[in-house]
Amino acid sequence: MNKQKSEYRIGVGASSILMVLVVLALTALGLLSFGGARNAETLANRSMQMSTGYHQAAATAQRQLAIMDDALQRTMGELDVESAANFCEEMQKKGLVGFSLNEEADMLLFSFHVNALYDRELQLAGRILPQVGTRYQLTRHELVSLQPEDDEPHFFLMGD
Amino acid sequence: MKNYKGNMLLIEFVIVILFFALSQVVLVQVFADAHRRTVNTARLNQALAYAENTAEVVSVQSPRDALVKLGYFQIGEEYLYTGIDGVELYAYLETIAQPSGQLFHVEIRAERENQTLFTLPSARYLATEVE
Repeated sequence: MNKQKSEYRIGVGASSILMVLVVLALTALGLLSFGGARNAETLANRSMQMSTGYHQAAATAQRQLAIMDDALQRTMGELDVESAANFCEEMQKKGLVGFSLNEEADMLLFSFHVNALYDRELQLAGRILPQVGTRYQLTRHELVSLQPEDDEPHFFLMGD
Repeated sequence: MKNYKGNMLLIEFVIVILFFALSQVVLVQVFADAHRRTVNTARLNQALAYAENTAEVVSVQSPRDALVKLGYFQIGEEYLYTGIDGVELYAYLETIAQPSGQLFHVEIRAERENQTLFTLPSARYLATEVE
């Protein structure tokens, strides 16, 4: 006779708790996604800057080789140990940083370097040929890190 | 009492849905921003890789032939590559002749929505041989 009374199955507060949990989970997911994307963007920008720095240094090195070759042509093969100092000074004035000439086994060896940003340097070296073929031969074109090696132990996860 | 409980439940549902909607407005913006950054980063990486490849190829081959082989087409004084979605690569050639040789200079510029992303120079000096 008595009608079965319907009872509320969902208690007051259950939906609030569920909402809080869902919002917390979505917030965590959103923050992780955003953090990951920002880190990837930072890495890509850093990679771009380092690559741009190297290519700018390489292009500058080619321009400076052109300057040096032009000066070598003007000396018409009369460059020797005595005039080397003047030649070095002339090259340094024209922007070839650290330009040096050394004599080794009756040959003049040149070297200079170009700043490649982020504590890196593009080092070039070669020998000056006594008016045979091209006036110089490049023997070194190397990107070198100027950061000092640290003595702290490194832990490798796999391999040596 | 039952009516009171029913009303309270209904009010709670309305408030929960309201707060959920407000929080989702913020969270959807966060997700959208993360997605936008991911897409832009992927395009930047792709453009950088192609520009580096172009710079390397141009430094060892004839610049004009190399650019055409890589898919650039000439527009006025520049070469344009549009193979990357959302990013355009422009290459500008310059040849400087001097008595001792020739300097070939290529400047590769990446642009997205008329903004320059990066500029990658490449140069190659060819010395004339002593006669």
